[in-house]
Amino acid sequence: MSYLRLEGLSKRFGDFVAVEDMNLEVEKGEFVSFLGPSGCGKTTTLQMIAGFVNPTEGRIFINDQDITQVKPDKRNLGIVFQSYALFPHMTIADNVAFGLEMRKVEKPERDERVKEMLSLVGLGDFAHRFPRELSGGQQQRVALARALVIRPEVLLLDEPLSALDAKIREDMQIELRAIQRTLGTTTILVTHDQSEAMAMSDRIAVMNKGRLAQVDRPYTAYEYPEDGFVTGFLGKSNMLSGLVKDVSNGVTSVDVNGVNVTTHSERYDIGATVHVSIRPEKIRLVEAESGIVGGTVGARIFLGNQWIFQVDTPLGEFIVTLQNTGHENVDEGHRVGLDWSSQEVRILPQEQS
Amino acid sequence: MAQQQNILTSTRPYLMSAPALAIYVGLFLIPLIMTFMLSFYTFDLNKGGILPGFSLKNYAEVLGDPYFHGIFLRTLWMSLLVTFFCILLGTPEAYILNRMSNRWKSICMLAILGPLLVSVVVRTLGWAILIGSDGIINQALIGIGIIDTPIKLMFTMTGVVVALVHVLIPFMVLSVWASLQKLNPMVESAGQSLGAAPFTVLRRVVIPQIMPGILSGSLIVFALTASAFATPSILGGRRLKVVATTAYDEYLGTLNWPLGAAIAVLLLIANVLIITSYNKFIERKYAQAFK
Amino acid sequence: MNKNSPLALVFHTAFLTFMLAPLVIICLVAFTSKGYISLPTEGLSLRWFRAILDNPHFIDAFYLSVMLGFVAATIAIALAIPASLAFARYDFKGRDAFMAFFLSPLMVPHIVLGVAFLSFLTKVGWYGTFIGLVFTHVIIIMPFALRLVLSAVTGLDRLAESAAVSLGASSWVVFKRVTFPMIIPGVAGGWVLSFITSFDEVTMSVFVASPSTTTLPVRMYEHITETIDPLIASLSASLIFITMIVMLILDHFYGLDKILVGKGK
Repeated sequence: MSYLRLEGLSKRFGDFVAVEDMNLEVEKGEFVSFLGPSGCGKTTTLQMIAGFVNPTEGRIFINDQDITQVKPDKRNLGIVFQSYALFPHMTIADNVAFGLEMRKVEKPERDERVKEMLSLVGLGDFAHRFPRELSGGQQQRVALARALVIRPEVLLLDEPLSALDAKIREDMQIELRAIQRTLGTTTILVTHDQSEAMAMSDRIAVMNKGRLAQVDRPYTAYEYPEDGFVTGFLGKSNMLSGLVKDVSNGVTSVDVNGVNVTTHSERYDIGATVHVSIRPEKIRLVEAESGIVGGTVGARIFLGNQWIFQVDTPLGEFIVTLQNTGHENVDEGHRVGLDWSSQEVRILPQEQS
Repeated sequence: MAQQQNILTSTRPYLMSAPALAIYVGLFLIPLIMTFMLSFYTFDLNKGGILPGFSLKNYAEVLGDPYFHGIFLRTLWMSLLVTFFCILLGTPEAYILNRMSNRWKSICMLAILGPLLVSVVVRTLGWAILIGSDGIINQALIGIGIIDTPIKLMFTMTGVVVALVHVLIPFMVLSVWASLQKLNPMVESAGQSLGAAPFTVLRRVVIPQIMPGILSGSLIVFALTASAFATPSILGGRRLKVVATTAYDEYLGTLNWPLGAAIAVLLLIANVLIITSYNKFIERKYAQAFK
Repeated sequence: MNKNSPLALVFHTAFLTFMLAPLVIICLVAFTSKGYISLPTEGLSLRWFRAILDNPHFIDAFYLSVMLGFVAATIAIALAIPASLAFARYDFKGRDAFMAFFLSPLMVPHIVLGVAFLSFLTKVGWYGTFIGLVFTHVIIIMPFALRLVLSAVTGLDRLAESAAVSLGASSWVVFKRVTFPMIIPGVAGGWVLSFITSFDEVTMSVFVASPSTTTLPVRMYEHITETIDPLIASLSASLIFITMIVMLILDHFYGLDKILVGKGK
C-alpha cells in the first residue's frame, strides 16, 4: 500500500504551468528522488507536499489521509533546505529540539531524543555550539537531525547537498542513505544531479517541464530510458536517426545512413523514423574495418579512471568511454572500428528532446 | 522555499502598517495641512491676533518684500557655499579614507562620523568658543602676539559657513564613501596599466563612478543647510538672518503665525522640489550604469 | 591597496583636526578654573562640572530628554516592526507609496515640522504635555527606525521561518521564537539611533518647548543665546563623553558607518 500518494497534482501560476497532472505512489520507507533540470517543477512539487504552496488541482495523501488542505505546521513532515535554514540564535541542541518542543514533548525525553539523534549524525559533542561555529557539512547534519528527530511521516530534502564541496557531498550521500535506511523514513529528494539521484534512491522520478517523464529504479531508468530527454539527462548517449527497415524475430533493423543498426525491440513499424541511442560505455574499439561503423579518432581525453574518445564517422561524431585498464589506447588521428552489441541499442521515438 | 502569500487578497500587510499609518496621518499629515491652511490666514494684533480666512497677503509679503528677498538670497548663498566646501573637502577625504588599512579606517571613521551623534547645539558651541572675539583662537593669536585686535569671525557669514561645513560634511563623506564601496579597485589599476597618470585615472575613471555619491551627498548638505536653524542662530546672531531663524522670529517673537507658516510652507515646497528633481536627475543620468 | 601619498595624509590629518577641534576645545574649556571661557592653563578644575549638579534647569531638562528619547524610540520601534515585516514580506498594492510616505519626514525641514507641530499641538490642547512632545519626536525618528528595522528584517533567513513552521510552530510562535530573536540586533541598533536622534534634536523642539517640555538641547540653546560660559562647556563635555561611549558600543556591534547610512537621505 502506498504511503505517500500524489493524485493529479497540478500547479499553475497564471499562464505558466509549473506542474501538470502528477501521479505518484511512494512506499513506506522508500527513497524517491525527483530529478530534473531547473524549472522542471520538482521544487514546486516538493513545496506542495510540504504545504507551502497550494496545488491548483489534485490531492496529496499520506498514509491514506488527504492532507491537501492541512496547514504546513500540522503535516508532521521533516524538511531539509538547501541552505539548511538553522536557527542562528539557538544552540545545535535547541535547534534539534525545536520540533519536539512544538509537540510538547517533556524535557527529559526531549533531551534524550536530541542526544540520540545528534550522535546518529555524528555530532554528539556539538550540542552546545552555535550554527555559525560549524562547517557546511556539519550544519547540514544538524538540519537533518532536526528534521528526523520528530519522527516525520515523510522526509523532504530540497537539494540538501548542492552547497557542499564535491568530496564532502559524496560522503554525505552515503551517510544520508545509511541514516535513512536505519530509521526507515519515507524520503523524497529533489535534485538536479543525476548521479546523486541514482546513487541514493530506490526509484527516481525524472521530470521535464512540469511532467513526469519516467519513474523507475535507477538502473532501469538509465538502461531503458523511455524518451530522448531521459536518455540525455541521466547520462551521455550517441543519438542517431534512421528509418526502420525490418522487424522480425524480436529484432528491429534500422537504416542509419546506409549502416544497419539492430536492436531488440518490436515497438515500431517498418518505415517509421526513429532515434537510436547507444551509451558511450557500451561501445568497444576494434580494428578499423571490423566494426559496425568505422571512423577516425578526433580527440582523446584522459580522466584518470577512464578515457574519452571522440570518433568521427560517416554517421556523425561518436563519444566512446573506456575504462583505464592499464595500457595505452589508440591515438588521435588513427582509424578505428566501433562495435557494440545490439542488446545495448535503444530505440526511441522521433521527437523533440 | 518561503511561504507564499496570496498577493492581492491578504489584508495582513495593511493591518500591520495600520498603526504607523494612523500616527503618520494624524500627527504628521494633519499638522502640515493645518500649517498650509494657516498660511492663508491673516494676523492683526488690534483685532485679536490670528484671523482665519483666505488671503494671499502673507505670500505676497514674503515673496515681494526685499527684506525677505535678502534673507532668501543669503540662505541660498550660504547653502551653495557650504555645499561647495563639503564637496571640495569631503570627496578627497572619503577617497583617502577608503585607501587606508582597515584598522586606521575604522578609527578615522569614528572621528568623522562620531560628531553626528552629538547634538548640533554642542558642535556649534564648540565653534562659538573657538571663534568668538574672546574665543580661544583669538585669545591664542593675541597671546602669541600675531595680532593686536581680535579677528571678527563671530556673527559673520564666514563663521557660520565654517561651522555648517563641520556639521554637515560627515554626510558628504558617508555618501561618497558608500559610492566608493561599489567601486572595483581593479578598475583603477586597469586604468594605470593602460598608461593613464594617477590624476587622469582619478579624473576619468574614479570621479565619474562616484558622481552619484557626490551628487546625493551634496543634495543632503544643501537641503540641510537651507533649513539650518541652531548654527546660524548662535553664530550668525540677529543680523545674519536666514529662512529658519526668520520663521522662528515670526512665530515665537512677533507671534505672527500666519506669516511664519507662509515662510515654512515656502521652505517646504522649495525643499521637496529640489530633492525630487535632483533625485530624478541623478536617476536618469546614472540609471544605466548603476542599476 | 594603493598607499596614500604624504600630501594626502597631511590633508587627512588637517581634516581630522578640523572635525575634532570644536569638541576637543569644549572638553578643554570645561576644566577651566576661571569664571570665563579659557583654557585650563592653571590646572584642571572640576568646579564647573559640580556646578552642573547645582543647576536644576539642566538636570530637569536632562531627565526629560532621557525619558523622551526612551519613550519615543520605543514607540517608533514598536510601530516600525510590524510595518517593516509587512513591507519585506508582502508585495501589496501601494507598498511603494506607503514606504515613500513613511520616509517623507526626512524631506521636511525640522523648522517646518516645528511650525506645524506647534500649531497642531496648540489646537488639540496637547501643547506643553509630555505625550504631545513624544509624538512629535516619534514622527521625526520614525524614518530612521524604519530604515534600520527594515534592513534587519530583509536580511532575515526566511527559510528558518519555514523550517519552524514545518516543525509545527504556529505564526505567533514563529515570530516569538524565530523572527524576533533574529532581528533583535538590527532592532536594537535602530532603537539606539532613534534615541540619539531624539535626544539631540533641537530645531523642532525649540518650537514646541514650553516650561514643562523643554528638552536639554533646547535649554542649552537658550543658555547659549544669552551667554557662553564654562558651565555650558562642562555640560557639553559631559554629553560628548557619554556620546563617545555609546558610539564605541555602536561601532563595536554594528559598524558606525552601517548605522549612519540610514541617517543620510
